[in-house]
Order: sequence, then structure tokens, then C-alpha cells
Amino acid sequence: MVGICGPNGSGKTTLLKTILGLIKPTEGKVLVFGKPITKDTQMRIGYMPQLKGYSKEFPAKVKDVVSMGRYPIRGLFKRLTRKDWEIIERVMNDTQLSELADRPIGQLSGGQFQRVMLAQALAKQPEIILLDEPTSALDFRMTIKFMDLLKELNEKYGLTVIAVHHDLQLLKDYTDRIICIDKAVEWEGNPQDADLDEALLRIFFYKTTH
Amino acid sequence: MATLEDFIQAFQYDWMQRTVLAAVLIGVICSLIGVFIILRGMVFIGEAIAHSAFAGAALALLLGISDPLLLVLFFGISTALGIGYINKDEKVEDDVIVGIFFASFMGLAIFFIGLLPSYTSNVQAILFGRILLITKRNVNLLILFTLITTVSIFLLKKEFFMISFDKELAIASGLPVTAMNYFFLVLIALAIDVSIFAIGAILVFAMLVIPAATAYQLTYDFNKMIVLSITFGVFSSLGGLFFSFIYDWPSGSVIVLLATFLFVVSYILSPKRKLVSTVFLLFKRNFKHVPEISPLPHFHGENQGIEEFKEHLREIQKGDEKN
Repeated sequence: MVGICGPNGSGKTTLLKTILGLIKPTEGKVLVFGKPITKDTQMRIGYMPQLKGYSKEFPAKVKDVVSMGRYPIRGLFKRLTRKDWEIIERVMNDTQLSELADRPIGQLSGGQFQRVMLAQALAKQPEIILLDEPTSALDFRMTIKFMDLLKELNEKYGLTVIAVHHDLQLLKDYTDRIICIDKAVEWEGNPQDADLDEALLRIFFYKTTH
Repeated sequence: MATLEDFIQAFQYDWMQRTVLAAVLIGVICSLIGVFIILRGMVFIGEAIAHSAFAGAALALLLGISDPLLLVLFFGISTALGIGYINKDEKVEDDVIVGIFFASFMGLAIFFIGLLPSYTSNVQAILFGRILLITKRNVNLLILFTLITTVSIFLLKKEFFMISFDKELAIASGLPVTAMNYFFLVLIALAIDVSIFAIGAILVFAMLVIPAATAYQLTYDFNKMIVLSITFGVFSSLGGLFFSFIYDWPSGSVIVLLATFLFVVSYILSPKRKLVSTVFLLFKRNFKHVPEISPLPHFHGENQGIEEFKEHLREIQKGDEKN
């Protein structure tokens, strides 16, 4: 599990979007799995976007949104197969959404909705999953539950989890590797490293570039 | 005024069968495309394309071309692609682009009409539509376009659905979103351009929006929304044809008014607004017996007070149960 942190405007979301191929780098290049970004790499990366204002009335049920993760795998013009639905059901089970499968997405709590978006990313059966502030809308208890779930998936399926976090405590408790950025990589290391606190202080407080 | 019998008898004639077929197809093509227009919030793009088609038709009149369809198609499709191209980087707000297209094509259309030697009834036909006078060629094209639209929407349904839900997520998943966007805009243009002669340039976009918006009120299920939208669309256009035949009312406006009526009803009945249930609850509350609440007892010490208060609550509860 990799955690990314940095001040507002430091380019965390931009970094994720560049890895996803949503933004083209102005210089340099991005390698994913050792290769430039193609449709193939996009298939192997799951993405859970930052929480934004979805319409409460959008006519989609939980299972519809989760199944979107399978669309690119199945390809254009084709319907989802029974195998796809088996995967969707397994993912909903893993994310404790099975009972909510037929609920309209507008009638979910913040925590449930974030789990739906996570399940959607997982339904792709990706090797890497990118999450942009996945817990920003959750209360303390839901945050812990969500992070435990990620940890479990990480251990169970060997899934690489790369997440942007604002909560520094979460980073220390739940990640194996921390990358702090502010326009460039400022610090990189393990949560146990002795100089982590000092680095965080430096990046968030003493660096007066903003 | 014609009678109902006239209406039924008319079915033996070719032109009547053609008109009914046209009404059904317009209902299908517009309200199917409309579902995605509503979900993606592209309502005014429909309006802009409709006005460009109007400009095309006005130019055809000015040039004395008897069948304006080709020019209408040309204007409609180029506007659709133009909006797609200028807007592809999303550097300018959607509204601004669409507003400029919308206004300038209206200006162009009025300019062409102004150059006409006389204000002919043809202008009115384009503006307001005459479903009873639809040509055979127009119906044939309508059949073709409805087939193209229906088949492509159903083949690409899941992708269009995902783009409507979250465009960025769709791009990140590797879907060809840009290409699909252009394709969808062209489908909108096709639907508008073949419908314009039946319901008119001003009202055609209402047919794209209203049946789908009506269906949107009633369901949280995407497939049901499609079915409902088509049902409402076909109902409105057949109803419009009926009234237009019987009372000689302008077909376009009757179609749109019927669709609006359905929208108002479904807005009131919508489970998303809970208007009906709220009114019902208010009504119920007014007639519900409200138990009298006895004044709060005085509280003495801290613990004693809480006990007394609990006792008090229990008494109120008992009273409630009796009622």
C-alpha cells in the first residue's frame, strides 16, 4: 500500500490523472508496468475518483455502477457475460454491498457510496488501484472501516493500492510506503523511518513556496 | 372538424398510414436519444442543432430547393460536429458555446427568411411542422435513421450509460469517449433533422427533452427510463396526430403540449419529489389525535430528577399507546 501526501495544489490529483492517461504530461514520460500508457495499461488500473457531486436522481443502482468496472474489459458492443456478473457479485460481497445491490445510488450514505466507487474500481480486477482521497467524506469510524477493507484486499489479492490522503495518521497506520510531493517528490520512505515527521513538518509548514 | 370515424377511415389511405408511422418513429427516435441528452445535461445542444437545421431549411427556401432535407442535414450535422470540436477540451463553458451557436443560427435563419420575396406558408411549415403533410421520402429517411439510432444506442448502451454517469471515469477506463461523443452528437442531429418537418424547428427539441425528463421523474432504473421515455414519446406524437386530424390544430404544438402534460403529472407523482406522499402526510397529520402533554414535573436533585423525568416519559408513552 502506497500513500501519497502533499499540500493543496501540490499535484497529487494531477499525478494520479497522469498515471491514468487523463492528462498528458507536458514533459517527460509516464511508464506504467514499465510501458507507456496505452489502452492496455488503462485496463489494468482501477480508479476511484475524488468524491464529487453526482446527481442524487441519476437512474443507476449500486450493481449498475459496480458493473461499469467490467465495461472496458468486455469491450464495445458486447453485453456483460455471466462470468462478469459473478465477478461483480464477488466484489460487492468483498465490499459489503451485496444487500444494497438494488438500491438507487442517490439513496446511499457517503460511506456506502464510496464503497460503491471502490467496488467499481475493483470489478475491473486491476493490478493497481488508484484512489483520490477515498476517505475525505467519511467520519472517523467509517474511515477506519474503509482503510481496513483496503488493507484486507491488499493482503488477500496482492492488489497494489496507491492512495492520496490528507490524514497523516492514516498514512502512518495503513501504508507500507509514503511519498510526499510538492510539485516534485520531496520525501519518500517507509512509515517507520525516523525522519518522516521532520519531513512532513518541512513540507507542510516550513516550505513557504505558497 | 373531422370525426373519429373519419380518422379511422383515413387509415385505408397511404398518406395516413405514412403519417401514423412517422408519428411513432419520431416518438421513438427523439425520446430514445433524449434519455442520454437528459442524463448528460445536454438539453441546449439539442436546441442549438434544431435552430441550425431551421437555418438550413430557410436557406433551402431562399434558394428555391423543393426538398430542403439535404441542406437541413448538412447544417444539423456540421453544427453537431462543430459543437463537439470546439468543446472537446472543455476550455470554454458548454453553455457559452451552445448559446452562441443557438443565437447565431437563429439570426441566420431569420436573415434568410427576411430575404424571401414573400412570407410563404412554407416558412410556417418549417417553424411549426405539419405531420399530416409529411413526404414519402421523409418517412423513408425517418425509418432509416430510427433504425441506425436504435441499433447503435442498444449496441453502445453500456458505454453511453457510463459516459453519462462519469465521463472522466469512462476515459480512465480506456473507453473511446471522444469518438463516442461525436457519434452521439451526429445521432442527435439525425433525430432532429428528420423530425423537424413533422413537429417544427421550434418544438422539435421539446420532443427530445420532455418524454425523457418525464421518464426520469418516475424511475431509478436506467432500462425502465428508456422504455418509459419511448412510451411517453410515442403516446404524445400519436396523440398530437389525432388532435391535429380531428380539430385541425397545429400538430407540433399539440404533441409538445401533450408531452408537457405527461411531464407535469409524473412530476407530481414522482417518488423522487414525494409531493403526493407529503400532501397525504399533511392531511393525515391534521386529523391525527394529538395527546395532550402534561406539564413537566419539577426536578429536585440530579438523580431524582432524571428518574422522575423517565417516569414522566413512560406516562406519556402509556397515554400514546391507549390512543
